[in-house]
Amino acid sequence: MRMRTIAILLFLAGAAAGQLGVPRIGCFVDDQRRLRPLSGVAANFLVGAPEAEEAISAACSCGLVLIKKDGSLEVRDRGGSVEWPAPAGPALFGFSPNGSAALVYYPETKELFRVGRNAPALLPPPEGEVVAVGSPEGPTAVVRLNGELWIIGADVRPAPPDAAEPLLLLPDGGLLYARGKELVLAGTDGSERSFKLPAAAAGMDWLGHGWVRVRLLEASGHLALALENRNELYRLPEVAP
Amino acid sequence: MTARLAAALLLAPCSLLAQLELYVVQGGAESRVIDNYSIGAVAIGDSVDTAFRLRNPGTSAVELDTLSAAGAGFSLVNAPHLPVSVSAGAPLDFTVRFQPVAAGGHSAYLQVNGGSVLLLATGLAPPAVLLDNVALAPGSAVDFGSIQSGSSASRTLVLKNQNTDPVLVSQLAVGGTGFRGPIGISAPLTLASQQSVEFDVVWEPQAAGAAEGLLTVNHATYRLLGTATEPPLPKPQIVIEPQAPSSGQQVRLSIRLAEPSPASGSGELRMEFVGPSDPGAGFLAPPGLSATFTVQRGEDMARFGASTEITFQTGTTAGTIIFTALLGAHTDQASLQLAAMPVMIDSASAVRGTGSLEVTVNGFDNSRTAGPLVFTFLDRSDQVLVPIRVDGAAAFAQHFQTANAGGLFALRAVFPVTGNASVVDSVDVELVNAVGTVRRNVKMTE
Repeated sequence: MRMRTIAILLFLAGAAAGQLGVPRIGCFVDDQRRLRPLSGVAANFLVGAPEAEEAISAACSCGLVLIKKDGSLEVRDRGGSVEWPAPAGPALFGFSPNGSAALVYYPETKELFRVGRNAPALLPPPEGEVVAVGSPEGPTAVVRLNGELWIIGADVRPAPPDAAEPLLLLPDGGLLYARGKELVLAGTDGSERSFKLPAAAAGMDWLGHGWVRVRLLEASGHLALALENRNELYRLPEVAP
Repeated sequence: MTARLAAALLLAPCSLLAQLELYVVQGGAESRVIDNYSIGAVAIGDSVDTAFRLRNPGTSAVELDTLSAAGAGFSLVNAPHLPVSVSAGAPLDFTVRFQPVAAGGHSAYLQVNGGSVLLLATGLAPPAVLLDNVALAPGSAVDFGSIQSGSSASRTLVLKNQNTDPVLVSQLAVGGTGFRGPIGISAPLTLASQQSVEFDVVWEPQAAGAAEGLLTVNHATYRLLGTATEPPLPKPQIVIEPQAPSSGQQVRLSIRLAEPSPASGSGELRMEFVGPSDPGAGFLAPPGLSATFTVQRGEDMARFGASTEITFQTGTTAGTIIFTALLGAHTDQASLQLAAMPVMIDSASAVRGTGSLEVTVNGFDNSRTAGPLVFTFLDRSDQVLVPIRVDGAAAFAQHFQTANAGGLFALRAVFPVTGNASVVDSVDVELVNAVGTVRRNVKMTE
C-alpha cells in the first residue's frame, strides 16, 4: 500500500519554491486615519509605515484588506486593489473563516454587502440596529431589537444577556464583547472566557486573521487579542507621531 | 517743637469768630471749640477725619469767604465752595483730615473768615519691625535663606512701639505662597509706649524655586524672600517582571524608589540593545528606546504616565538589553541576557492546492543561524511519505541581513506534486539553527 502511494504521489522536490519574508499580522487605522501594517509574531509586533491615508475604518484578514474612506471602500487582495463607491461614514466588517470573503455594513445607509474578489453584492439588511456583522458563511449580524441583542444567522438566537458594545461577531458565530474592564469571549457552545483589561474597551477591530485590536478608553493604549486556540492578550506598540 | 507750639498757642486769637461758632461733631453731639482743638495721635500712614460744624448764632445771614486748615498733615475734606452764605441758625459742616507726615507734634490754624482756631495733633511713628534686634526699613526684605522644598523655615520678628503714645496695629498680615503667619499675635492690637511683642513667620515651600511673600504692618510692607531647592530624589531600582525573559516576549518594567520620594521630579529610562539591530526590541508606549518617568512626593514607585509600569518587547534577536534609569544624581542599570535558542515557530499552516502543497511557517530565529530545513510529509497513519531536505542557510542569512526585522521570518514553501495529493495528511516541519532543532507537525487543509 505504501509503495503504491509513493508511486502515485511524486514530489517534484527539485522544483520546490521557497520564499522568506516578514510575517504579516494585519493592519489597523491609527489616530491620524492612516492605515498601518502590523508585522511580527505574538508579543513581538512591528508597526510599519502608512499604507493608506484618510481611512475611517479598516479590517484585515489573511486574504483581504478592507479600507473604508469618506466615499469609497478599497478592497485589497493578493491580486491587487480595487475601489468601490460607498456612503460616507464608518463601516462594520466581518470575515469568513478563511478570510477570503467579508461582509461590510454601512450604518449611514443601513446597507449590507458581501465583498470578495468580485464587485460588492448587496444583501438584504437584517432587521434592527446592526451593531456588528459576521461571516458571509455564518451568523451575519448582531442587531439590537427592542433593547436586546440578537445574533442573526440561519436562526435567530439571543446574545448573552450581559453582552454589550463594543462587540465583534466571530466567523464561527461566537461573540467577543466588553463587560466593564474585561473582554468576554463567548463560544457558540456556551463556553465563556474572560480577559482582564487595564481599562474599559472603547472599540474593537479586525486586526488580522485571528487577531483583534482592542482600543482602550482613557488613552490607555491598544491591545491585540490572539484568537484561535491562543486566546492571549498583548500590548500593541503605540504609533510614533 | 514744643516751644514752637507754645508760641503758636500764645499768638492764637482768643476768640475765633464774632459771627460764626465752631463745633466739633462726635457721635452726633456738638462740642463748642473756642481756641484750639486736639485731634489726638495718629500713626504715620494712617489718617483721621474730624467733623466740624459752623453755626451762625445771629439773626441775619453771614457770608463765609475764608475757610482753610494751614499746616503740614492737615487738609479740608468736602469743604464748601466759597463764598457761601450761612443763614441765621443754620449749620455748615466740613471735615478736617489729619495725616501725619512725621513723628511728633503737628499744628495748623483752622482759619474761618477773620478768625482762627489752633488744631493740634501728634504723628506717631509706626510700630517698628525688628529682626535680630535690628529695625527693618519698610520695603526691606526678610530673608528665609535657601531650604529644601517640603521643609520649613521660620523667622522671629518683633513689633515695637517706639513712641511715647500707644500705637494701634490695625493690620498685621502675611501673604505669599508657602508663607504663613503671623504666629503668636493677631491684629488689631495696641502697643503701649515702648512695648514690644514677638511673632513668627513660617515659610514652607512646596516646590523648588524663588519665593516671595509680603508682611504687612499697618501701611508698611516688608518683603519675605526665600529660595527652595529640590531635596535629593531617592535612588531608583529597576524591577523587571518576569526577571529572566527570553526573546519574543512582552515584559513589564517598573522603577522602585529606595524610599518615598521627598519631592516630585522626573527621570529617564533608556533601553539599549547590545547585539544586531532589532526594531522589535523597545518600549511600546511611548514607542522607542527611551521613556520619561515621574516620581511624586510621598510615592515609592515611579510612574510612566498614569501607570507604575512600562511594557517592552524583548525583540527576536539574541543579545543583551541594558536598561538605565536616571533620576536626579542617581543611576541604576539592569541588564537582560537574551540567550540564543532554537527557532521559535509562532504559527504554521499547510494548504493542499491543485498540483502543489504550500507550507507556511511564521516565527523567529534569535540566533539568525537557521539553515537546514526538513519537510516530512505524512499520511493519515503518520507514515512517512517523503522527506524533503532543503538547505536554507544562504536564504535565511540574506533575509536576516536585509529584512530589518530582527530574527523574524515568514517562510512559504511550495511543493509541486503529481498524483493524488490527498493522501498527504500532515507535514512535519523541522528547522535547525546553531542552537538546536525544532519540529512542528502541521495538518493539511484544503
